[in-house]
Amino acid sequence: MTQDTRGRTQWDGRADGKTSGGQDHVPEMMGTEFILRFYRLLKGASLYDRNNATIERLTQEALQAINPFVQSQDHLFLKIVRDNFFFNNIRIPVKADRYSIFKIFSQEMARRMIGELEFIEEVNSPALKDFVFLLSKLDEGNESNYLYVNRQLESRGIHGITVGKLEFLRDEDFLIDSEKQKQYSKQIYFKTVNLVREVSEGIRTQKLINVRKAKHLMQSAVNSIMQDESALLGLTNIKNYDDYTFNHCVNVAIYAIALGQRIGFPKKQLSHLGMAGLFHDIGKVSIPKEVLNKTDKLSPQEWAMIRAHPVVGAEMVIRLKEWGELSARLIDASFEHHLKYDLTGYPKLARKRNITLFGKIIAVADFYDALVRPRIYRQYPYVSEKILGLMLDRAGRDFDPALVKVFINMIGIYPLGTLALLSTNEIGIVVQTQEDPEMIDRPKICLLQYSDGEYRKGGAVDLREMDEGMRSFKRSIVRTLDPNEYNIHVAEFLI
Amino acid sequence: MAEDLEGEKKDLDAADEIASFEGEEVEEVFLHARDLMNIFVKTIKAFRLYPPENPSLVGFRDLLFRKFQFFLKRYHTFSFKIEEYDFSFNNRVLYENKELKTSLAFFLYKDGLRELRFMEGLEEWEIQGFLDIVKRGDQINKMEEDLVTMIWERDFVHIRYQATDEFLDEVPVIIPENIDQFRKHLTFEPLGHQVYDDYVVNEAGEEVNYYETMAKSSSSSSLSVNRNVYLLTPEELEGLRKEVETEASPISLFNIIDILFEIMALEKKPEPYRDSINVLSKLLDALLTLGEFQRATDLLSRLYIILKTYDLQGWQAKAIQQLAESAGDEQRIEKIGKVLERREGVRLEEVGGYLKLLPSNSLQPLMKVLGELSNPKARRTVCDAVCQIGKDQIDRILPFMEDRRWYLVRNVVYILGRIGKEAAIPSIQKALSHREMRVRREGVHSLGFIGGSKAFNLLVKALQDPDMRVRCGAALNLGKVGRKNSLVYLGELIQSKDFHRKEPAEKKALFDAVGIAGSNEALPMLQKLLMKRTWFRRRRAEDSREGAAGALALIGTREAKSVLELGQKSKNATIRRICQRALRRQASVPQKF
Repeated sequence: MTQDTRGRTQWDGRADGKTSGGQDHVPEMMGTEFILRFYRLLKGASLYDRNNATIERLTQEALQAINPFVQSQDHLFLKIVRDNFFFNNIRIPVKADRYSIFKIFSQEMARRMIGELEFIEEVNSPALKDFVFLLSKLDEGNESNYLYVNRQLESRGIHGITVGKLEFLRDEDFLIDSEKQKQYSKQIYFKTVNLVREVSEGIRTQKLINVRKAKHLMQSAVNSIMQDESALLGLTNIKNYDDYTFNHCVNVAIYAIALGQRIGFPKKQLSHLGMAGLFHDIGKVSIPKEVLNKTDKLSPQEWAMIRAHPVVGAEMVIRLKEWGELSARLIDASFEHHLKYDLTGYPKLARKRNITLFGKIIAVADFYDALVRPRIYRQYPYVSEKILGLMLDRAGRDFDPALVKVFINMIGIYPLGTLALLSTNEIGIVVQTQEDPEMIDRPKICLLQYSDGEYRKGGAVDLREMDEGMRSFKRSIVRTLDPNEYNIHVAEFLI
Repeated sequence: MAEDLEGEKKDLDAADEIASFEGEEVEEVFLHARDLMNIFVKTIKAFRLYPPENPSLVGFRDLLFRKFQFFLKRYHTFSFKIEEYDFSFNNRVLYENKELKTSLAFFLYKDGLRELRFMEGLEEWEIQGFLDIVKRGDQINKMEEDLVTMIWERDFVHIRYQATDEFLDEVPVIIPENIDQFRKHLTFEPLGHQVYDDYVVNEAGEEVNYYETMAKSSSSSSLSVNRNVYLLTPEELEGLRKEVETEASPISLFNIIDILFEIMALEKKPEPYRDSINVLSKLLDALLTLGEFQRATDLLSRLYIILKTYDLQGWQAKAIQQLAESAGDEQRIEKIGKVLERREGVRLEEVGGYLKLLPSNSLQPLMKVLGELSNPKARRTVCDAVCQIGKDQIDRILPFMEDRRWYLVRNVVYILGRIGKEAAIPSIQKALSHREMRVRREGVHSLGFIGGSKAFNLLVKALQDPDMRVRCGAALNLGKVGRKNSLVYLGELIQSKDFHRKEPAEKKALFDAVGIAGSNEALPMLQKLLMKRTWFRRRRAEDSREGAAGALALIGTREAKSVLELGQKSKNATIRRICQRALRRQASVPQKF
């Protein structure tokens, strides 16, 4: 089953409280500020006790965002509908640089099953601390949490704060259960690989393409990524399940959706981005397998054939019977995915023009996934941070610089699947990146244990963990390793 | 009004489909839910049945919205399960219809919808959006679209659904449950050499292997050390915001026009080339429907540039030529007419720019549109375009002189005048005897544009037109066309005994015409009229002096100025005043020699 409960698109005009001049509306600014400060306080409450100086400072900062607003607007009401935030009924658009904090805040609230916070009068520091510590200690996934918090607040004489339940459809529960989310993502991934195979074979044999099926899969992928991108992003470590080409297309689609989401594309365009990723290499269907799989150096004619695939792909889409918005996106992606930011690359253009954002996103995703694939000759290390470094170097020439930055923020400096040597001399694989930008270098790691001639899954550790004296982190990444050298297939640890 | 819609239209009657609770004691919530379901079903039927412009639809929508508001305020959500033939609310069937063709339940069910939920806070745009989807649901291609996709894409805040994706499992897919199953499907074939991604062109234009570049690069270490390298600046954030906004707008789809032209520049095979041309043709239609004339102009201009500058094969040139020609097709011009009539948001200068590029086969359709347009500014835009397109094709325009609509005939006369071909004069001569004064007046103006002896003679005749406004126009254009030859006729009228009986406007026009003729030969007559002393009928004499002084100022030669300067020294205060005013007027225009 799939379901949808998401709010409206970001940046979609006045309905979102956006002014025509592009300036933030006051409630949006205040809302953003409130969420940032409240999140910091909530996070602090899970790390420090209530008398800690940091907590006092964070409480004061949060109060500065709450009380003046309550004073002027009579109340402060925050409602979370999936990961859409409505501040006094005005939707807060999430910008790319604040995406992570908003995302993690919505996840924290979802875990506690709290969907609404309301301040109906000004509050003082002890009351706010009481409230935040109550929230921080709630059970995960308990639907009655909101009742408990309200009762507790009442019993403590705090009447100015109330909370409401998180609304969700019955079947949405898998979305807050990470294991189910993982299973769901896995189904999407392998079904999509199969679909790309079907479509490619369909094109070869000139059968009708079931676009509807592809659309549904991409809608599911968008739903999954919007809820928690890490499950599907983790699966992009799969490079050679059945066929590299099909894996690559699905991986590009996943990267593209996740990147598009970060920069605020509406859902419809996100699913189109996914479709564009799936079919960006459709032009390769016309290249003989002997050429595609040739391991010797290609002849000039064979190179020409390879270099024609963006145009051939665009032409294939043009020939689709039905013609609409989606076809245009597919044409953009197919034609432009080997064009570089400075308009070099191929195909050679007859006239200078701007590359579409779709084209630029697919180019970044395509490049990254192509480079992180395992090399057969292993002359060069397979380390994604090197690739990210290279992408940064080439930003402005090969890639849109802003998109490269968003991409790095998205996959983290130690992307899922990175093999790392820790300060404890253990080795492990990154299995979850941190949404909090301050903790970008402290992902969750699955430790590896060597036995019976191979590395096996050990326990999971969170690199944010502090030692008992709280003076330093228990573990840190010393350096990244090439999994090929250790004969480790990282995808196995992420499926 | 909306309340009256209930039960009024038999086609929409849902009485047989909605549950009856007669003789039963039921909870109030079921009665309210049934009432809401009844309107929900009727409204959807109306939206599927009636054309979008039908005014009843607004009434239905508003009524449904009010019913929802009432229900949701009381019960917070309205959700119902969708089965093959029925809708049930809290396990109670509220709607049932087993006729597959007419069953609304089946209509939603077949696309995979299994539950719909409307929540408190539901907004009007969401109801309208939902109804639009249902309406479109009948026309979609099932291989591409379905109701679930459309609802999903609209991203409603207060409408949620559950759907099944069973069709995705038609072909069983193996999902590896464990590492062993996963390993079974891994392939370890060597990768092909088509690792073109591995190459980058350096500053010297040489291909460099990315992996070698990477191995030498030290920048990767900076990622963990210096976070600033991947922090977005406010400018980058704003740039991305704008790009997303632009790209998400439907207009951005027209970016592919560039790609289609690129394909045409690269492609040497007829089939894909023609495919691109066909898509361009569809895009041109879309641009015209949306009123995107600037882009349409660009598209058409590029076709002409390709035709003129590219080294094309015969079939390529023919394909482009055909597309360019099709821009003038009647259907396309009709579309433009509709956009022009809409008035709002249409930039006429952009429309004009596009129309002027049209081929000559557009002339007749454009004239038809001209006959139907009511917006005067838009008519002018079309006229100007026809002038440009039809400058060598007046035969295609002339038949419209016979049209029964006087305003269209006037436009034709306007166009013929601006084209300025003498061949049009017989048609304009006909216009000079048209029953409608505005046609005749346009006729004399057009003769002024065409000029020549034939025009001159017709203008002389038009000085006798029964309508003063036509005579004024004729006089002014006679002065313009005939120059000094016109003075005989103009002078005769000015000096005639009946001149004083003419309206001031006509007197002024006649003097102005003498001025426009611009000849010193008129000076003796004008000087005489200016200086003439009279003891009687002073008012009449003063009118003539004013006219003469004005004409002298218009003639603008040194000699004409001398006459006015002489008048400025006159003992007669009136003459002095008139001449001073005329000289001031003259000073504002450059002197003629």
